[in-house]
Amino acid sequence: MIEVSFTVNGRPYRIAVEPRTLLSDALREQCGLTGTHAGCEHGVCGMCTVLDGGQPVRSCLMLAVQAEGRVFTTVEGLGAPDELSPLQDAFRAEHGVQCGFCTPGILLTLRAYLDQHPGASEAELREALSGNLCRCTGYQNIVAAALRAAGRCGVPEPGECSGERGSPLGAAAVRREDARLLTGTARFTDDVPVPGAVHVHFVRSPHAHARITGIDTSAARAADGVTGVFTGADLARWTSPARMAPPIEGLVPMETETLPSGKVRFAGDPVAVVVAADRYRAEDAGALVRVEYEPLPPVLDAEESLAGDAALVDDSLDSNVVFRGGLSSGDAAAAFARADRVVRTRFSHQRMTHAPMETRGCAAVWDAGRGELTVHTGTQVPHPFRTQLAARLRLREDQVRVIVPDVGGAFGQKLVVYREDVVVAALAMRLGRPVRWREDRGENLMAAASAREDSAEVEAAVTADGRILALRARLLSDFGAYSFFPANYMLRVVAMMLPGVYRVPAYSCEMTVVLSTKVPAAPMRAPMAVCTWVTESTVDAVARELGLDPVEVRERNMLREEELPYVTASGETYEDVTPYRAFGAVLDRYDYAGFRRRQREGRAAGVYRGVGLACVVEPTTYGSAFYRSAGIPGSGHESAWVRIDPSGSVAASTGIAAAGQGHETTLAQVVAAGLGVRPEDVAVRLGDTEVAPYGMGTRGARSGTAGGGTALLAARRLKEKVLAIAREMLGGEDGLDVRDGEVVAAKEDGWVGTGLSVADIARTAYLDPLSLPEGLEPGLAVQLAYDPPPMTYSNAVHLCEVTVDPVTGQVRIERYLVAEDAGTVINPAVVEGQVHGAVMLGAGGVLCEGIVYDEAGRNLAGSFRDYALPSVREAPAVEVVHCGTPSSRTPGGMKGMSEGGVMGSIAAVTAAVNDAIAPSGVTVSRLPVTPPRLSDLLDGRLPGVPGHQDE
Amino acid sequence: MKPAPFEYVRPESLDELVGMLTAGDVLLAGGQSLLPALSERRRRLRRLVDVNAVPGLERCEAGPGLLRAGALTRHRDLAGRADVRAAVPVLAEAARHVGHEAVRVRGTLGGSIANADPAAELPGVCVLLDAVARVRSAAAGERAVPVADLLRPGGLAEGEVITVVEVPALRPGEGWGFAELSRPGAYAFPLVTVSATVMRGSGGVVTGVRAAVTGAAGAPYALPGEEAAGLLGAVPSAAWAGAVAGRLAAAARPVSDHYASAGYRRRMVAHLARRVLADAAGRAGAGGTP
Ligand SMILES: Cc1cc2nc3c(=O)[nH]c(=O)nc-3n(C[C@H](O)[C@H](O)[C@H](O)COP(=O)(O)OP(=O)(O)OC[C@H]3O[C@@H](n4cnc5c(N)ncnc54)[C@H](O)[C@@H]3O)c2cc1C
Ligand code: FES
Ligand code: FES
Repeated sequence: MIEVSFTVNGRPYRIAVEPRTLLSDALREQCGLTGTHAGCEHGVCGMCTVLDGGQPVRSCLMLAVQAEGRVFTTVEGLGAPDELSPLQDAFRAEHGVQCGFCTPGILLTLRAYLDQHPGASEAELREALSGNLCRCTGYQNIVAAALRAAGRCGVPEPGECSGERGSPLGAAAVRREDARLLTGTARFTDDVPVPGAVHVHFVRSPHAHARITGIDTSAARAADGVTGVFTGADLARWTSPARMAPPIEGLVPMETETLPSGKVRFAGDPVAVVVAADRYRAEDAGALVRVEYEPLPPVLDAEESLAGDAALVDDSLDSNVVFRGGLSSGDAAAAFARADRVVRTRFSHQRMTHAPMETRGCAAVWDAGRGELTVHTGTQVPHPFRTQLAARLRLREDQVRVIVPDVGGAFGQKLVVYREDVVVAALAMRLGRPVRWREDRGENLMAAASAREDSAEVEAAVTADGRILALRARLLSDFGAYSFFPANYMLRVVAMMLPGVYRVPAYSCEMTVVLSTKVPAAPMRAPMAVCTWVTESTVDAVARELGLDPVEVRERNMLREEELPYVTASGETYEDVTPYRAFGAVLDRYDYAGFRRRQREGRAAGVYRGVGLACVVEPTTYGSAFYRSAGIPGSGHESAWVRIDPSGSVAASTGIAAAGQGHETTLAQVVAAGLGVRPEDVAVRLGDTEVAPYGMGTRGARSGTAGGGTALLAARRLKEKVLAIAREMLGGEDGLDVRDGEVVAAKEDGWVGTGLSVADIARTAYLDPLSLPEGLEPGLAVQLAYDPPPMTYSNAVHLCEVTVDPVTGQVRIERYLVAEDAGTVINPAVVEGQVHGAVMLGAGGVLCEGIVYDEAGRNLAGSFRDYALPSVREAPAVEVVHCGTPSSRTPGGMKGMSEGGVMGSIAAVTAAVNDAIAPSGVTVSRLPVTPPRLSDLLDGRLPGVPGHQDE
Repeated sequence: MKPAPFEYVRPESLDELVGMLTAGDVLLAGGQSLLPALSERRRRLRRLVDVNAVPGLERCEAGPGLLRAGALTRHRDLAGRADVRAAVPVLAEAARHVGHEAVRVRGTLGGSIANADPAAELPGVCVLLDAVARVRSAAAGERAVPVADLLRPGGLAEGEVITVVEVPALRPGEGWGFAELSRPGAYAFPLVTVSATVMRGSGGVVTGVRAAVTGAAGAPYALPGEEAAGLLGAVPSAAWAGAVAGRLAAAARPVSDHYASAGYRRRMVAHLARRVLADAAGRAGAGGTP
């Protein structure tokens, strides 16, 4: 141990560290400054940025011993929650924060830059921020906040909102979460203090596929600081395996051990777990665990599995095919026989991963005396998580409490109980000590969950003037090594949504899902996202082959609002959607004819511009009836309680959990609207299963409709009680309402005060129950549950303009427009932030991200050096036009949203690239289109551009 | 992702540093390449020798005709100091492209050379300008080695410390160019870089041309001298730049990997070279480097 002295935020520290202790760990653990986050620990993400003598440095790339005598600033030194600095305030005002995990590093980077370059330009600020990742915001509002801080206010975005005037619904309120997220006082899983906790580290397979022939843990067990080392055999005694066997036609039941005992199925599969005093020692001991493997052939190609040529991934099955299903309606065969033309397209999306900036992790505390387990973890679904975890640990559900702290992004990766979570909880019980695990970035990229390796072959039967008569599709998905979800979970929705916004008289679709030796698949923000790409690109191919304009073909096939309600070829009922109106809204904002002119002129000068359109229907809500009819297990109900305390303060909760979406802010707006109080007077408590009522959590864009809808119903019901008491207290007066926390009475020209406030009513309800109307129980609290409609639909139209450099293959997004119809918008700034982030997530997949395996099945993208996330340099400025058509089926008219942006951007960006390179005669059908791949694909097919033959 | 244990020492003079090095020691400069390798346990070591307290290693002086940059000269200083930019603008420009501000604040020139990544910017510019490194060890004392030699496998022996890098300044009137194509996404590490200088004489004809490439072979390489000789005497034009670019591309020995194909890398050498040569020719004039 070495003693070091340094100053942080003006305060002296003197600590003892090992030579190897990273500065980031010393700041977090020894100085207690947990606002400094670790997002990668290899220098790329920028989350750990602190100022060293005013200069930005990566604290994960400095050793604590190097801190001697230095003067640091961390986010805690920038301002306090009730005293934000102008820079922090700019982020709050511009909605530059979502999950907030990236925020401290960004603030410090900007602080240093703006100190040296006051009044910096947008281009300079983007360059300055290019070393800081953000997975949530698409960077747009971060840039806006930086500009505001630099004294250059961004242009306010236009937007018409559907909310009632003067109602808290529809207000672009600043987020209440932000004060803590901006000051380092938020608490993410790894920031939760758990005294006496030991740390785990998982030993993972280097092989894609191998039999485990022996594990020797003796050296590891004897290592310094080690509490124990455990393997699959131990866990099999303490826990139950995960069984995935819902009664679904075509789905093969599967079972997953808590830790594999017989063989490993992907590089990164956990084979043993080390428990030690700290993470450093746990990793030291992990290196001493000797595992003997007998390698088996990797299974990497879904087509080989289909042909039966691949090794078996799950030895208990007789094939790698784990789901086969079909959908059909109308007479496709007849339509194809009658068609003037059959247009064929193929698509293949690469494997991606969610990459939330906060990795997975949990801390488990077992209270042996009470027989109670508390688990702190950033799950999106606290109650279902508790149900599953209790079952796996063979505990009664009431013995488990799940507490969700602040969550640094999830995107679908924090939906299930992972094997690691079960291990940590089981160890806490076995060892009688708190146990914690923080997944590192390498594990997150190699072993958490991945998504979207879907491919499609489509045939469209069309008339000579471009009318679609029928669609036939064959969908294939690579599910990875295990079944964390039912194997039809994602692909079923792709098949369902494939008809998109078009009239498709006949449709047939085959779905196949196969196992492979890759990271298991999970739904990722818009699990069905490829559907829009497939359909829209097929429409573009129809236009190309028939020599028509893509706009014309869309006009010809698109549903009009007058045709609603409309039952699609896959049996879904569209109501309250506005595809044609949104299409018009985008084209009105964009000079399409002018673009075609610029495109022609540009091509003559060697400049390749392209435009892409994507019409999106986003399924949202997923009520229970949807699951039943789709043959997917699940409930879609939600619960909420709202209560007014004796002093008049309001609190509310639902079963949804936030991971950056700002639920505390929007739920407060909803409850305030339902109850007639001010949003700032409503406290929102989420994520603790002892506090929140049982609900299905946050996924599938359901938080607005299911979470918000249930809270609205509960608030309205509570208001009825408030009014009933008020009427009694006012001697039977009618025509009362509650506004801004005051009871008001209708007068011909508006509302007048009655002198009664909600606080007066509350006092009576709790403390003077004898004054209550006959039959009314004391207190002011309502809890209710609500099952929303099977599905609601939001819709959007995306337009993307790009320039392609035909030599380097670089794609620049020049303009990005979205017309979004998400029904009643609770908070337009939050909705826009969701659109920005979703567009970037889709575009990142198109342009740079991807998991790459080598022939041996090793994952080559195990760090942020190799798994390329987009930076602010690549981020488009998205213009959002709101066209809020309220849903007639949900309380408040909310429809929900957050995934459609991904669906639209995969389609629109790819279409724009294809439009730009159309003169080459090639089209992109495999993603991603990184510059090298696009350049190789073009291969000299454009005039004056070199290709392979010129080398 | 935590480093395995090691011992740590922080010598306070160059003699102490050179005197203490034994087998298995690893030097720590900016740590921007070494610390990720330690945390990911790609590298193990017995003892870490932190050179950041050695006086003099940070000194960077732009003298007449020569930049003497101590091994600890940070990328940020190369990119930002007016005297560095005046003497070797092409090095300053290249340094501006290295990583991000936080990386440039810590990362060092000596570390970049010792790290010898085949695509990195600064080693390429050192090759372009025939920079010479002074290297010290207890066994061999001090030697002066062309940086190009240090970049080859085994170029830097165990126990050797780079102390200073001597980069010849551009000559009056010498024009320069630098261009980089980086990997997409946030890491943005260079895929290929090309740098060049051009001297022009009366009538604007080329009297000297140098060029170097990174990311297209096992180590950075320069335009071979005999080829450069054949390119003199012309008035620079697109065709002339194309000819230089063609020779640079022909000398490439690129690999294919999951970032890019070999063919792409070779094409990018030619593509960047045309632009860089045009920039360098455009900047070249009589007297003073604009
Ligand atoms: C996010 C990120 C982005 C980056 N982007 C780029 C980029 O675009 N281009 C680029 O070139 N680099 C990039 N780097 C790497 C960076 O430039 C490093 O600074 C550089 O490669 C090594 O310099 P260092 O001082 O940090 O060396 P260290 O990491 O301290 O050491 C690197 C190696 O050099 C040895 N060494 C260091 N100094 C000496 C010496 N004086 N004598 C002998 N051996 C020595 C060390 O022992 C070690 O083996 C990036 C790094 C990060 C984290
Ligand atoms: S944690 Fe330090 S850069 Fe990512
Ligand atoms: S807000 Fe940036 S990562 Fe979530």
